[in-house]
Amino acid sequence: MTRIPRRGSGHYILRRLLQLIPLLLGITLLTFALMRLAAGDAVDLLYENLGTSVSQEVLDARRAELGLDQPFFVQYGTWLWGVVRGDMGVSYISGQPVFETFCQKLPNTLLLAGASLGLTILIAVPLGILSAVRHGRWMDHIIRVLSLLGNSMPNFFVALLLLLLFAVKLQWLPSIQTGSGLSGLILPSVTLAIAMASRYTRQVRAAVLEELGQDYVTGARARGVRESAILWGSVLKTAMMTIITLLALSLGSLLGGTAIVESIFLWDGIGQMAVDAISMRDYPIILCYVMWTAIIYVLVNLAADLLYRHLDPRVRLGEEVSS
Amino acid sequence: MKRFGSDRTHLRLILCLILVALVILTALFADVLAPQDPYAQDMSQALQAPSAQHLLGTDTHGRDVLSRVIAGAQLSVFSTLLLVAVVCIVGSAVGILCGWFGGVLDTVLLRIGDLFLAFPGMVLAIAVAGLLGGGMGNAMLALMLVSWPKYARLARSQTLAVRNAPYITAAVMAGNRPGQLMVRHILPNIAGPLLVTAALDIGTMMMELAGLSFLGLGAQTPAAEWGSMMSKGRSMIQTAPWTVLAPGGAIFLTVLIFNLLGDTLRDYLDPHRSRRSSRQSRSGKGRSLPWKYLAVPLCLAVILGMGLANCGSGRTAATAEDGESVFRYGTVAYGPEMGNAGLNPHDNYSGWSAVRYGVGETLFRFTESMELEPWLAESWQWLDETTLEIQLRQDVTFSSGRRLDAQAVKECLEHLIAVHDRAPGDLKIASIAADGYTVTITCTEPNPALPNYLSDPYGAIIDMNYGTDGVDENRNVAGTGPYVAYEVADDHIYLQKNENYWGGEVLTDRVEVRSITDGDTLTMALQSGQLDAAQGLPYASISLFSDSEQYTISSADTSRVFFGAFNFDSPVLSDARVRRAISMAIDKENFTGVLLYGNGTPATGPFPSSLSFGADQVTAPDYDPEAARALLAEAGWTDTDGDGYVEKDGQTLTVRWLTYPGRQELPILAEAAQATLQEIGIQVEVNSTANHLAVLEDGDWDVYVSAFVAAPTGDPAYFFTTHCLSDSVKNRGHYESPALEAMAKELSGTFDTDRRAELAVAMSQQLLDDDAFFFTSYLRMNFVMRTGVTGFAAHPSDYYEITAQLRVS
Repeated sequence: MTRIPRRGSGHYILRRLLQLIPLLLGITLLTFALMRLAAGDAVDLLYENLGTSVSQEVLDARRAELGLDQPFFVQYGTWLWGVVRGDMGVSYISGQPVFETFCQKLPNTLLLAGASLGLTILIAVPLGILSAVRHGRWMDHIIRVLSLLGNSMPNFFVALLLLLLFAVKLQWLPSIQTGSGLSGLILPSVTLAIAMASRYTRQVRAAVLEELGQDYVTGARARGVRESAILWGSVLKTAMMTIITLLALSLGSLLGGTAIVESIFLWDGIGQMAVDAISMRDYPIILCYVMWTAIIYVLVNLAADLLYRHLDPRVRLGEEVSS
Repeated sequence: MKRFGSDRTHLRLILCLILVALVILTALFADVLAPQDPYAQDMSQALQAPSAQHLLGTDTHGRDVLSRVIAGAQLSVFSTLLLVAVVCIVGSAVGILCGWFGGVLDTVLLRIGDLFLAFPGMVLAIAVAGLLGGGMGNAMLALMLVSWPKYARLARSQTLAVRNAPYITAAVMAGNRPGQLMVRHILPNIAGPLLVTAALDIGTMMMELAGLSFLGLGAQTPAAEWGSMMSKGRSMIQTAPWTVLAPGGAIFLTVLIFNLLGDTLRDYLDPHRSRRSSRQSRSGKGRSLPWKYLAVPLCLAVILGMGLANCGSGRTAATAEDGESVFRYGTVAYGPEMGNAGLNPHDNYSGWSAVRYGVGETLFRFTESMELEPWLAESWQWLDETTLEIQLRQDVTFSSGRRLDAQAVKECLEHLIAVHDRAPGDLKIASIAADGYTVTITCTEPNPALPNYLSDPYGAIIDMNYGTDGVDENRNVAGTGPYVAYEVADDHIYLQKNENYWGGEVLTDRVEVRSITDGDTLTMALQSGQLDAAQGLPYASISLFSDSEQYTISSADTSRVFFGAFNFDSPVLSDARVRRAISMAIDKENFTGVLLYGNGTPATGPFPSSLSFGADQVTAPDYDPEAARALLAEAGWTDTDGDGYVEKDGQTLTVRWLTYPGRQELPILAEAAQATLQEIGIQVEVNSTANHLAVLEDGDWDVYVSAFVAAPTGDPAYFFTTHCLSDSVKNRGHYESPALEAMAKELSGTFDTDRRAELAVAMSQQLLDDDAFFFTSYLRMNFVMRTGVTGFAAHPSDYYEITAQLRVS
């Protein structure tokens, strides 16, 4: 297998990373515009939450303090200039530095994403392969039915059922994370893994079946090559390409935080942070979150393309990899 | 005849199509199929278990769940189908254009697509809901915006693939125009994969839409939509599981059917696959399988799972180490969203946390009847109308070791009025003098409520010499209370007992306060033994604990009142008889008794009866639909066309009911009022939106229903100055009454407590006589705790939670 020419790939990666800049500018400007158009701001919502009343002067003073009384482009410009200097600002609500808040919550999201992706791979890859190899037989049918069922359950429903069973009825697992230890990680990662594993089992199966149907497999069979050698030697290697791309893309959505699951299990990650920030119109946090999802999106796609290229040298860098 | 697929796929496809047809027919004829009216409420039938009469039981409003699930099919299925159709068509059109023309158009459209693909869908959903007001249509719009690029990319790559095919070249040479080419030649050839993707997307989109509704961003009250039904029933999953399982099962089944269709369609439209699968099944039969290889990852999965489960069993260790007593407390009321994260009383509402969790104390405190008693002060007296003299206790020290004296109080209060947003306006302090243990405060104008405001949690006295301006780098403060924090964060505060507490021995060694904003998570954490007590449980969950000997509940009526304000600028409401009829058609007893499970007290005026100027001293119109109807008829509103609604001059009486979902009780009240007002012939359009403030300003409302703490410091003037006078910030309905203004003026200069109470009663009655407001209920606050927890009681002020008397056994 030939390696990617060093200079070529470096140039390519740089070019892809440079595309981030207009994307980030566009996406933050769009966010700014949308949030600006949406009625109500952080000041209104903060005071309303407690059901007490303050005078208009207090509201105005608070707005002036946060710069919310400035014209749109001035606000955006101020924010952008701050970011260029490495200052993401402070949260309107908590008053804490945005970047610090984000960095506090990121490890939790990474942990949850890692655990659920790991669990997904451990379930989906063996089952998918098994299902493909046993194509058309009872094992295949059982796996397909299970994956279809798992794929048709909204994750908030799964979360509630799991909580009810394992935390309340059996009391085997904690419903929320307390103290150290990984026990609080089990239920949220299982919740996420159920839907993902169901989806990827089907896709692994499809990818492996696709390869098994290729002419070279028939040829190898005709030459009397052992089935396991075909499977492990060639089929899986090629099928892995599709599988890795899919997993990379799903990692992207996991890293964006999983708001519903995080909120149900009280997992202090960035998905929960984003929901709270949005409902409170905490613009600096929202912008930070939006930038993060955009960066993740670009990096994950780039990584998928590079992996693709690495596993299949026929693909030339720079060509669109159809998704 | 048979061009695609094998016999079996063909059969499967037909089966799937029949199932899909059944779903669509159910949705189409939902009105006919539903055994009962999905919106008809009957409080006497609330939360009935499934029976012959109600096959899937009833919900909190006594509505038939089966009928609602069927009606929900209409909303859920059709909105999903519409969503997928639009996204597929728009996305494909863009993709084909990009693929065919290429160049700048391609680049620009692709980049725009990237922008939306990289955009978090939820941010967009909320922003769209904010722009256009919440609702199903907006949730759909948001999902459309983020999903079209997927189709555009697919259509583009497919177009690129067929662009140079000989038949396209032939078509170009035959003189087809680009439009014709794309529609007649390219589209049919790339439609297969697009259709399969769309079919597979239906299930996903249905779940996404339900998810948005579940988060409150989609369908609004009282629409029967599966996601929002689940979200409302969620807290009843243990007490009335059918309210969650029925819509959940409906989503599951429908998604399953559409997923089956997608799968089968893919098999059917893919000729390679069928050929391959038939070949595969022939040749692959009987081969030995590499089971041993597959066993390895499976074993790993099992081992990992068991390992994780073992970590889980160690959790009880956190309860008690070395015999120290720990109180673990979960609350919905702490966090940045409440403005009370941290402990610094001079910052926003953080003083509430300082006082609630036993770190800070104020000069005076409120009794159960919201009267003042000394706390850090020993006594107080007014020297004249603007000068208050306070004698401090002499045995109090801050946790920093400093003694509390007049100088410390002066420093703290001066800093408070220098930096806090609300305090200067409430306290009206001109100067403070300190002498030994005597503090003398001079006000800029007569301010009879000064002692009350000093008892607001922002008046908690902290040592200003501690850290920088009283706060150290760990967000901690030095107070005088029974507990000292050792860890302060946005989602928790950990405290240990103050060994030198002036008020006697502190009975518990450590307290862990955790912010758990999700009520159901809170319920389960208490049930699973991870918490010793919880505050803010959903009403539906409380019955789980009230019937059990393992738990005790402490309740108190707060002065948080749920009330409606009439819009005096609205033409239909200019007639006082209409306003009174509306007040008379609101069933307060059923609202508190049934819908809030008894966790509330019906209201008459703004203040609860626990106050000396409370509800028992005013009279409000009773719930009386007959009299209300008669009143409407007297005002000229009668049902002339027999549609159930009253009309005058050919115009139906419609009331725009504005409220917001931030308080769980408000949408419930709106739904209940919609039903009871309909009984007297008034049509109610509910608008429950987080953007209610904007609607208020636009004036597009008739009744605004909100929740407000009417007497946070036991001061009777507060509600009137904020809501009822012509210059009040929150006088949204522009109510004006000269009589009320005169009494308010007198109240602001009256120091005598009895006279103040008398005035407050007269003013409350004035509001009711003018039919300017209706007051529905007072919030009851509940602390649920494990039996064995003592000294932990709910207080009407909502200020005091953790005290020295708290004991855990």
